[in-house]
Amino acid sequence: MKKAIYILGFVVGLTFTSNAQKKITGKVKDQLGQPVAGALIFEAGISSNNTLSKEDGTFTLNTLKADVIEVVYADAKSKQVKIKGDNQVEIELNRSDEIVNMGNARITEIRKTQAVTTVDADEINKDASVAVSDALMGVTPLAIRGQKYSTLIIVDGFPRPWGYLAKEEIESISVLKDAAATALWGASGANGVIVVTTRRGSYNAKKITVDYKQGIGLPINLPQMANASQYAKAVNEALYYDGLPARYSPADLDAFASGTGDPDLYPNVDWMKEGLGEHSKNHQLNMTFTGGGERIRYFSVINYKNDIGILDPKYTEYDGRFSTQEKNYSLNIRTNLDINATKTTLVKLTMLGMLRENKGPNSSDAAIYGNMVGIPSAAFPVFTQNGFWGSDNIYKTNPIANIASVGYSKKNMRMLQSDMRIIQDLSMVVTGLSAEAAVSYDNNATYAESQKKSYAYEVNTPVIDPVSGAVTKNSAVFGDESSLTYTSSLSDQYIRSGAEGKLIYNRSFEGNMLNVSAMYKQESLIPSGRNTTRKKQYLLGTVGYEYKDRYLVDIVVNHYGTSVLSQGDQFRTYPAVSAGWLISNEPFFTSKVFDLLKLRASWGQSGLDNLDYELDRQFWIGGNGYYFKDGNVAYGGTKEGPLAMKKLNPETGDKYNLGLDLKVFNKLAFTADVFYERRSDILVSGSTTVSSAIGIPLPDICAGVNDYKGYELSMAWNENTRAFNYYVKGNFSFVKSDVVENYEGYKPYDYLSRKGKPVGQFFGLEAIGYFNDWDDINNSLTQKFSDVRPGDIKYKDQNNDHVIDQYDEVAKGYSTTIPEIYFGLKLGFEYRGFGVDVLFQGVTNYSRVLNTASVYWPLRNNTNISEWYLNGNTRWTETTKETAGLPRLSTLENANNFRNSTQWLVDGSYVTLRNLNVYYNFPQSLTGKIKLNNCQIYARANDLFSLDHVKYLSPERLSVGYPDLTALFLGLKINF
Amino acid sequence: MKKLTKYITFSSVVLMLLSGCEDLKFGNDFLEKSTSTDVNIDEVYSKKVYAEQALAEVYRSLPEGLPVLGRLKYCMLESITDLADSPKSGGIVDYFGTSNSATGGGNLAYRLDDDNSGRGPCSGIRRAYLFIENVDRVPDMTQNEKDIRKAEAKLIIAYHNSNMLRYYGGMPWISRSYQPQDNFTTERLTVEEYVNKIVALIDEAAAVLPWSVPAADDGRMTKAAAMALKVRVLLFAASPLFNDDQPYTAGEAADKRYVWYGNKDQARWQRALDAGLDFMREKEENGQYDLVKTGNPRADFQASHFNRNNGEILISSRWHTTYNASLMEFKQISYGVAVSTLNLVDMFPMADGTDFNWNNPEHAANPFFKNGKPVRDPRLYETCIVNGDAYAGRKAECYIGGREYKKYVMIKYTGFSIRKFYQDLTTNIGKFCEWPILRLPEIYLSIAEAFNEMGRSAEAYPYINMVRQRAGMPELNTGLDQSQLREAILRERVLELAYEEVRFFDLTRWKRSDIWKSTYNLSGLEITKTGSTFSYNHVNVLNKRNSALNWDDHYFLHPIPVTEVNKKYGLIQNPGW
Repeated sequence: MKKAIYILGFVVGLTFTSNAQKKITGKVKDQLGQPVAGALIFEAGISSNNTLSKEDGTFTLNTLKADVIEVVYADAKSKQVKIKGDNQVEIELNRSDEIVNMGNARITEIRKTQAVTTVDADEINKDASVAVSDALMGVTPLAIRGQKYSTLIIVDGFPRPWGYLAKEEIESISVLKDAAATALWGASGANGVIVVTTRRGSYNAKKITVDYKQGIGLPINLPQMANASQYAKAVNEALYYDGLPARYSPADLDAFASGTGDPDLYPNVDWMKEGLGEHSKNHQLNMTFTGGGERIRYFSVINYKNDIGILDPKYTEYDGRFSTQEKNYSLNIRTNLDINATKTTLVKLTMLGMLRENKGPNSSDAAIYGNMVGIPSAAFPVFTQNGFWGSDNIYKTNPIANIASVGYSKKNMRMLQSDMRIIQDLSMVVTGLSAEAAVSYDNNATYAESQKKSYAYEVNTPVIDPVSGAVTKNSAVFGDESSLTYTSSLSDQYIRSGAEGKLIYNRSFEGNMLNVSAMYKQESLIPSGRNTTRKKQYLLGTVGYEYKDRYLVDIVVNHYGTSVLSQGDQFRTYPAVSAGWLISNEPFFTSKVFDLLKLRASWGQSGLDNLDYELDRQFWIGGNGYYFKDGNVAYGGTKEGPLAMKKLNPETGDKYNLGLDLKVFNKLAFTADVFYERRSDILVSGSTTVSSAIGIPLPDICAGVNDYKGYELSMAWNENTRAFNYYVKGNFSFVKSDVVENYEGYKPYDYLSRKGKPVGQFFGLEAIGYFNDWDDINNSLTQKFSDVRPGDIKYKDQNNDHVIDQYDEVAKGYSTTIPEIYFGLKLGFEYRGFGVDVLFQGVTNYSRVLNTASVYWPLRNNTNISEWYLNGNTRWTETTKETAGLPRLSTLENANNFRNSTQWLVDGSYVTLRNLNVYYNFPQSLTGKIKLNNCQIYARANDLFSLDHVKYLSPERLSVGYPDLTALFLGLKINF
Repeated sequence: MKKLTKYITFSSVVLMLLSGCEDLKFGNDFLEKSTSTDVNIDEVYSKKVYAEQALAEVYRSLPEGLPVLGRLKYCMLESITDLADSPKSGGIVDYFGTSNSATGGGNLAYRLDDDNSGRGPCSGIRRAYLFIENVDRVPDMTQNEKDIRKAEAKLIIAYHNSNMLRYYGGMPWISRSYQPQDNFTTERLTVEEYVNKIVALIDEAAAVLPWSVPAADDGRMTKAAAMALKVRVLLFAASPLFNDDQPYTAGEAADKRYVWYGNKDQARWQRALDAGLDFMREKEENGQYDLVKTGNPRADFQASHFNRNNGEILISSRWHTTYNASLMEFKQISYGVAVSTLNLVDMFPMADGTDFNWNNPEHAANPFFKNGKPVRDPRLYETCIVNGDAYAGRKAECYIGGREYKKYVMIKYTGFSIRKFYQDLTTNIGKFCEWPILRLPEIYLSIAEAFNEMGRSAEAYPYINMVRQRAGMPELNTGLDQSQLREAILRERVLELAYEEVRFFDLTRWKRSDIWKSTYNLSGLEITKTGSTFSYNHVNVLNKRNSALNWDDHYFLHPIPVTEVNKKYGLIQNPGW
């Protein structure tokens, strides 16, 4: 707290002599030149001295020293305007000079020295996707500057999940990237911060929006699995090349091929076709109420969503007692209130209540979707002739029964997110001084209930009479149709709370501006269970100074404490300095072409405290015990727990950033950033150098170092006229990571080292072909993974030791975790009310490994085989030796073929049409008659197509689960 | 009015801040986590009861021989010898096989770097040293108690080292509990140094330990255990693997004498013999131990390895309180992890002591029972499940279509299965169980072996016959020459100690690559029942062990994990790996 007092003293010590009253008159207009009524105008730093614009947009403000005035208009947007020369001002509201909310600090776009990307409501709401995080698609990778995990999400000033918000609740999303911005969040911010600001009311206005949309989801990227006949042939082929006897006799193969055999013994089930319906369905109704007067403003949302899953109703309604369709409902109710309690006191209340229900069959995704892919068509029928569920002795399950006959499970989530913030103008004490205090309290509880049952299944095995060859079947029924058993529990619960207090001093004089703040903040997250509570507290000081409208400096010092560090050593200090030069404001810069030309530079640090508790202490824990004596007497055991870590440190990012902001012709905006970050104190294994003779697993050490460097470019071209407007926006980001230190220990060959390679670099053997025959095997080097047979993959000996083993694994391709290049392109136009928005997004310099069982790695350990292996490519057989692109089939584990190698490595690049939005606004002449301000119909689509190198699944997701969907929506939006 | 509003607003905020809930704290208190109930080392060694618990965890490091924790893919050590096989899918085809076990190593029976599965020695050694280093601080224990408990811990350290000797050869000596920052760069010891260190530690423990413990302490280390372990170590050291003119495989570790003595010296057999005779002398003086012998050979033999506190188990491991068929260790057996081979069964002689022979029509017609009476060494019926023997309250049906045949993969596989330690998986549920690590008969047979190697075969017979006598078998024919008697002793060790982790080491210490190679083609029996008669058909087991096919003598010792060698603190890999 001491620091805050010093800063306050410093602020009070500053005095500004001029105290002359000044009268400002002006007019507020929007981008198209229309007057804006109900904008709140006040002198920067003295919010109590304010006025509202009238119907024609005009206002009059008596100021003390009017260098800068702040304008707050609809939906929590605001901007700062400089007064120059005469006391007349025309204020045009446009997005580019709005105030950017960085959570713990705000700054105007124009004087910003930090690397921050902002997306606002207009852009967010054009997107067809439902998930809020998708709003950043094509704008910035969610792996901010190469960091895939632990991005800090801030909603209205406090850390909160954002996944449950409806897009309609959001005013803007800012992505903080460099240290000048992330140092504001201390040891939580190193992996980037996403700041979400929700919408708020507006002055002298009343607006109601009703938006209803209905959509369907069409499954895409479904793997095409072999039919029964193909499967049986493939198994026999695999067994043949494994040197094992065939499983299916020629008669069996005929029976599968003709499809006329006993369906209990010769089934042919397309599990996905059987279990999946045509499409999923969803509805969304959103109503927002915005408005208010001088004393109270409100913004209210009621958002209702439901989503009916893709399972075939034939089976979800199979048991008359319950439905097992996957259904998700959610209802969000938000009320954000801004209350002028006194002339100098503003109270902001933010409340979100949420009810959510997720329902579905009482099975895991793997039991349903995994089995639809993994169980061969030829395994067993859905139902046997005797009316039981089909199954066999290998799988002992039935994916369709797992939908229809296992009961249902349901999760109910209730959440409250609330905070209250009081802003007190203290200009009566010191001109330009204000104070803020805020508390937040969020509570979430998820209740789970299920009605569970088991099912009986019948296994039919053929019995062949050794004399006559006649096939009869041997039937056995396992399990039973149990009655429903009900269970319920509290499955998840947490409380998040936070509190902050802040003093802000904000004054401007003769083209100079000073903004100083001191803040204390604390946050806690208390889930159920001991030792999972996380607490953080910090003192944050910021200084922003602008000299002669041209030179900008920002300083941040964050003294940050976190409960996971050692007692007595819980605080770290994160400094950051950034500076900007507004070249376009220099007297010598006379070009009329440039509206803005700014250079930025920043350096600073932020951290990441995602450590577990008490890593620095060693405890003794209960062991397994022992049983002395000839009797049932347990001797409790006590043994040492994990060794203590010597010194706990949060990860530290030392970040450098250079930026350029450019605006030309008032139409083209361009931003470029170059960055470099050294990330140190990363947790790495400490065991690679210490002898196992120590007898206990070694603790990790905070000693890893990675480098990240790259650049980000973004460009936007906007042209607006009353009848026609269009835009083109492009984004491109490149990040290259480099492992500098990882304590990997001794590597016998340099190329085995992960150092100097990107984080997540692919390592594998280099496939150089297939063994043609036994002579080839005998004349080739020994491969030490499993016995090789003709048709197996032959690898390159990298170290010339004449043995192929794991020492021959080399780096190939790129990282399999983070793409180096990420890009997005947004295009759109609007003409006479008709508009189109398109978003393409893609990545490149990215590697993926095709190792999904059944789909790409067939038949081993009783898995299935896909068309990809059978017909999409040429596998090795005795007749396709020359042209083969895949190894032979095998039913065995075959560790030689099925391991990381260039055989399975693919380019993970893709370009996807993420979003398409087509809309029509009915003309005012029409809507005015029925008292509507606006009426829009729209059609939207998500993930319409993708260009990539991966057949079946997508490079974004190579696992088998709930199918990927292309979402289509039709909607109607009405403004009153 | 305005002032009032302001006042109310502010005071309500203050109230919210202060009274919200107990977790709302400010300043440095805020970051404190809730009080911990965990104990640290000082608390453990502040009370006898906790210190004893720490020692219990040292005992816990004694390995369990039943299939546990993924060792050998849940097989038994016998499953990789000629005595048993594992038809379980994913079983043991690649043991020491084509995959480079030094780098992969998932299938190895023993790993230096494995601290959790009970396969490795290091965590037990560490816990024992921690106990030895700290127990003196315990206030409520007498010095005498402390000394004895420390000696117990020392003997466990010696036991783990004896296992390292048998799997790896000479290894660095771990002399205390290390910290990660400690410099641990000791080189491997030569076999000679290592054996001497182990023996010295055993002697140190033996000097303090009581010869036996009361029934309430059954399972603890004793002087008898120490002296018996010494016999085992010295016998292994005297065997040709280490004690020969040539190393079993050439290489740097052989040059440095880490994996053999460097010469052949009869004195090593003498040393083993002396240790054995010392044990016998002490036993003579103090009594307490003897073979279970009530006159019912089959029941006695079962009690010898299945009962706690039976007077002949010298070292045991006790992971479980009772025999419980639902535990993984016991369940695994029905998946077929240690199916007895016909090779094992055929070693059991006829009850009259003559060899069993399938070419003898009388034997072949009634290999197990004649007129309902057992015809073979009684130990066969306790070691394996044999067709027609009492089983689950009826007769075992191991023939094609029989109940056991249908129920268990294992019996389909060779016509037999393991019975030792498992019985019929039903009758002895709830019985207190243990795993015998070292049993008195092993010492008798080791003494016999040492006599034989010293050329004093006449003195060997009484020791062998003590074991046979308990089993109700006639005395061994005299007049065997040295090598015949050696074979007879090795066979007697199988009959008595099958499934007790003795065979594996007998095959390595005698460098029996002939038997190792033969494990490529092991046999089983297909039994067909026609009416009330059985016919027997020899079949080969399906598992073709790559290790047997590509047998190389360097398999005699295990590889040190390559990750461990690559830490570069001075370990040199065993030759051939």
